Amino acid sequence: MGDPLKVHGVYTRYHVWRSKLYRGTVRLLAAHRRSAADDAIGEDHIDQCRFQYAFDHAPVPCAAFQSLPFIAATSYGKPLGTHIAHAHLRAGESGRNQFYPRCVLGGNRERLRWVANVGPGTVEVARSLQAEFERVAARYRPRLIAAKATLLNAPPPRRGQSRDALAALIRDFLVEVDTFINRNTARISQTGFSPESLTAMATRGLLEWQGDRRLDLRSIDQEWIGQTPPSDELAGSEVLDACGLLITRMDIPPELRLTGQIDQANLGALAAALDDARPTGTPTMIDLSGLTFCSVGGMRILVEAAASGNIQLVGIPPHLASAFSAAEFPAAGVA
Amino acid sequence: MAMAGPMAPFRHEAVLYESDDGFLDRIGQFVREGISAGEPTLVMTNARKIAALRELLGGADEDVVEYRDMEVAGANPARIIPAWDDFATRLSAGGARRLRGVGEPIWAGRSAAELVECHWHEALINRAFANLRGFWLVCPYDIGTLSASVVDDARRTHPLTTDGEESTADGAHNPNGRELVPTRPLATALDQPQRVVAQLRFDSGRLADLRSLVATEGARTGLSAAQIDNLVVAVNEVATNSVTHGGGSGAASIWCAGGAIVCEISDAGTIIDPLADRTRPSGAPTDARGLWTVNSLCDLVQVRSSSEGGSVVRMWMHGNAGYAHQEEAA
Repeated sequence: MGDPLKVHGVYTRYHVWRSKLYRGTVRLLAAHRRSAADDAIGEDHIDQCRFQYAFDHAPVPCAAFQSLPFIAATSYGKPLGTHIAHAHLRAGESGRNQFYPRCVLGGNRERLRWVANVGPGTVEVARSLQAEFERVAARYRPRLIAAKATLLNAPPPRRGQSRDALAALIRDFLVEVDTFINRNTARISQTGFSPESLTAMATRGLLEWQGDRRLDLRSIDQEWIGQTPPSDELAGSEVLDACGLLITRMDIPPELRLTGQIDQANLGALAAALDDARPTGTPTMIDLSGLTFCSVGGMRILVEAAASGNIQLVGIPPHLASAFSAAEFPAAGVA
Repeated sequence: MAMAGPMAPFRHEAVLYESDDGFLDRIGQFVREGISAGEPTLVMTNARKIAALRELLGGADEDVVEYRDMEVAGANPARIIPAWDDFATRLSAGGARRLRGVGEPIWAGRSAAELVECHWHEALINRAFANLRGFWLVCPYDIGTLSASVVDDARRTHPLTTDGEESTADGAHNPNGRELVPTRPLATALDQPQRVVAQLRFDSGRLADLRSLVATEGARTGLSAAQIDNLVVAVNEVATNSVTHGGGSGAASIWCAGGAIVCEISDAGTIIDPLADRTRPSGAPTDARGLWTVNSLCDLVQVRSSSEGGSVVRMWMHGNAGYAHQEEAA
């Protein structure tokens, strides 16, 4: 489990670097997480990522996009370059000895549920922190990798000198990391880390890396990135995709699961789905926990539906709770 | 006896004072009179003055006087009228015929934009409670720490100003009395922003783009996750108004000012009722509550509108203190 992700194979369909990388054996490094999420997803997970764009420019059309440096290197340890990639990438196998990076979040629904689970505001704070940290780290990362490669490739008599050079570079980098963390303690806390643990994690990670034979540098925020996406595939359900809102209908017990964003564009579809749900004998649960956004107009439709009976709202996500209470709807059927 | 006879019309009075002792002297007397007449009173000022006042009253205020920290409840000045309204509605329903209030919305730490909205709020009070007979609202102004122009504006927004022993009715300062009950102050221009960092023209199909833009810029300004979530809801609400009532489209501009992020939405629509953003929606879920919600989610909201120039709504959210350095050098 402690090994970095090493992929030996031919890149055949990785759109981002198809033009940049050689055909040949490469190592896919750094954009790696190990967590319960990886194990839960399993080998049969099919990559459904629809977002084909150059990650280096990252205009962020993907709701769950988080930048993470991605380092490609030859199997001889020669770095080919650092790229900004999606934090949720891992290696997928497309055929015999052929690998490509895929997104563990799979399809749109998993993405939206992941964002809803973490909270869109928190995702933005983390994105912003990552971008700022990358500006700090960009100065060091290539030098660190180069110094490590020099050390790994150095003949034994010259190793001492290379080792000292790497150690000095790591010390300087740690000072920068520490300064960055201290300057951003409040925001770091919001992403679920204590600044102290982050400092400790960065120090421990870098010192371990200094002493072993790996070339890749793992990111310091993998734990947060690796948070398990809620993956509950619903058998026998009916899904309606309405302008950024997925409406999943289950009959036994009657339930509507709303995933994604409710706004002006899909109010009509939402109202229609709620109307359809109402006539059943048993109360219908409306699960809101997968909502990344809900406009006040959307809240109104939900609250009205609940007030007119036979519908119960459950799982208002924490990031929408204050907007719900600010709108001051009469409390009706909201759990 | 005050309770006899027809109830007095709404009285909105500025009281000028200097130093904490001056505050306790004047306001203490006003509250004591209320207590002895059995008139329910709400005091809204900062926590320190509330504590001092309570100590002065020494328990006599029990059951008669309520307190709210103005720096919390009234941080966004547009939330103050609803607070008075809640108090008046609740106590009137309970049978009270006469009410007193002490409201200090302006203090030395207010930003320039907040001051503009505070004076606007003071002017709107005259309109909001014009028909509420029996309500006497006193607004203390600390002339020791506030600039002369702020105090001058207070004289213009209050029908009655008391300075020392001398009371001045509005006529002396404001012969026409026009500013007291604003009719078109919504048309007052706002300052132009220094440096706009992002702009987006939107229609119904681009609300999602607008939301992600606001979230990204909010994070770059150092807003907390909860503030970002709230600001996104607020901006979406105003932009939805543009799409549905403001001609189908609008323009968004985002900039930073004094550690805050400011999101401005402008469109071709007209907002007629100057109290539109501070009127509590009634019980029905169908009631319009967009601007109401926006006011409680944002730190400051500025609404301007005229039939010629369309409408502008500026939403302010204060970022992390000390985060201003993150404004990009690029």
